[in-house]
Amino acid sequence: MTLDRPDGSEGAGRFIIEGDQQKARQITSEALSSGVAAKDFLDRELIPAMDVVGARFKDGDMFLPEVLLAARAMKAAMSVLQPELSRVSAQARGKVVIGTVEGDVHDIGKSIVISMLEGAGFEVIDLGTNVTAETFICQITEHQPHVLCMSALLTTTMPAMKEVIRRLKENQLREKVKVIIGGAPVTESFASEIDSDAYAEDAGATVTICKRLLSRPE
Amino acid sequence: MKARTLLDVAVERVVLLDGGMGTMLIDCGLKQGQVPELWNLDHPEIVQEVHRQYTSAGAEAVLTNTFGASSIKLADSRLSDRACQINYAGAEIALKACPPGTYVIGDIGPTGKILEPYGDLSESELRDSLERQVESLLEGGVDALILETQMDLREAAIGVAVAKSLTSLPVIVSFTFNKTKRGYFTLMGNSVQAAISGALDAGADVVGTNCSLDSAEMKDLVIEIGKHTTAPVYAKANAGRAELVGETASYAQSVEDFMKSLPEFLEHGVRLIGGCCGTNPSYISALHRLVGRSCHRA
Repeated sequence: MTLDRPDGSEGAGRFIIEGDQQKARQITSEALSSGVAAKDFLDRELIPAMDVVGARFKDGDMFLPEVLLAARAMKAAMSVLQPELSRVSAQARGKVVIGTVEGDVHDIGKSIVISMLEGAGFEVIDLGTNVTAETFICQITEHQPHVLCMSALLTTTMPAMKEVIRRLKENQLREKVKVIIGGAPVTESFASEIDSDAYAEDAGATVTICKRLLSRPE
Repeated sequence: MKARTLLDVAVERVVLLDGGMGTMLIDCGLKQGQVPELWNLDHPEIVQEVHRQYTSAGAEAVLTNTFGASSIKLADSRLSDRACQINYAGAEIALKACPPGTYVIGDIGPTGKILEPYGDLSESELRDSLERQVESLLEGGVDALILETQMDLREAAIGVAVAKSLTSLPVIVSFTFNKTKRGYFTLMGNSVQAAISGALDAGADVVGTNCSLDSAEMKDLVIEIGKHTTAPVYAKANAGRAELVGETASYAQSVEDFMKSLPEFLEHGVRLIGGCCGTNPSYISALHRLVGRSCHRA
C-alpha cells in the first residue's frame, strides 16, 4: 500500500512506519497549518499507518524495535494533533484501563497495546504489571473507563483474570465496563469461559475491538 | 572444578540435560505471584528434590533455579537486594543435589527489559546486573553458565562478554525464536544466522535454542542452527503449548509426542539436549533411553 497522498506528496504515514519522530511531527504541523482538519488527518494518515505497523508485526515483517519506534513517531504526531482534537471534541475516543494481572510481570506485549491504543486516540491508564484484583477494582471505580484490558503471558496467571471479573461482578461494575483479555496463552474460548467481552489476539486486534465495543449507533 | 569441562564432553558426545524447573515448582505448590527463585532461600529442599529427580532420570547436567534472579528482574518483586544471595544459593542447592560428576550450569534468563534506544534499559545497568549474577553463581560453584531464552542478540552478547570477563568456564547462549512465515526470528528481529553468529562472535562456546516452540516446531530450527555453527548445539523444546485445565496449566505434548522429533535433533548435531517448560523427569527418562548413555559421566 502506498502511504503517500494522491498528489504524490509525502504523507505522515510513511514516517510513522519508518519511526521518524521529527518528520512525523513536522508533516503533521504542516498539514494543520495548511488547514487540514486534525480528525481527518488522524483518520487518513496516522491510523492507517499504525494499522500497517500492526499487520507487519503480526506477519513477522516488522519486529519489536521498529514497532516501538513507530509508536514513538505516532506519539510525536499525536502531540501536535491533540490540542486541536481536544478543541473540536471534548473527549478522546474512549478511556481504557490496562494492566498485567497479579503474578505476572511481563510488560512488553502490554506496552505495544498501549502504544497502538494511544495511537488510535484512546486515553489509556496503565496500571503496570503484577496488578492485584483489588487494584483493578479501585482504579476502575476511580477512573470509570469504557474498557478494561488485562494481559497475561503465563498460563499460570490466567486464572487471575477470572478473579478480576468475579470481583467486578461482586462490586456491581461488570455492566459498566467492557473487558478485553489478551496475551500469548490466552484463547477465545478462555475469554468466553470467564465472561470477558472479547479476546484480542494482538495489539492491532485490541484497537479494532475497542472501537467495535464502543461504537454507538449514531 | 572438574578435570574436563562441559564443553570438552559436549564436543565428543551427547550430554543429557534436565527438564523444566518452573513448571515442576508449580506442581510442588509454587503459587501464582510467588517468585520461583526465592524458593532457593525459602524452600531449598524442594528445589534440591527437583534437581535430584532429574539426575535420577539420567540428566548429566542441570540448570540452577536462577532464571529470573538478575537484580533487574528481581526488582519487579522488590527483591533486587537479595539477588546475590538467591544466585549463590541456587548454585549451592544444585551442587548438593547432584551426584559427583554432574555438571551444574548457572542459569541466567533475560531481564525482560528492552535496551536503549528502543526501551529504557542502559547497557551499563544491564552489565552491572549481569556481573552480580555471574559472580554469585561462580562463587556458588557452577561448572558453566547459560544465557537462556534470549530474545535480543545485544543483551545476549553483553551477557557473554560479562561472563567471559569473569571466568574461563564454558558459556552457552540459547535464544528463543518465534516461527514466522519468513522463518524463525527472535522478538527483537534477529534471524537465526544473525543470532547464532553474533553469539559466537561474542565468545559463546555453545549455542542453541529453548522455549516458545514444541519439539515438532523446533526441529527445523535446530537443523538451521546447525548450518551456522560447528560448535556444539544446545536444544530444549517445550512440551507443547500450555493450556489451562481448570485452574492449572497443562502442556499439550505427551512424552510420546515430545519424543517423536528428538531423534532428528540428535542426527542434526544437537549435543546438549533436554526439555523446557512443561517437561518433567518422565520426559528426561525417555530422552535418556534415546541418548542411550546411562551414567557415562566425566
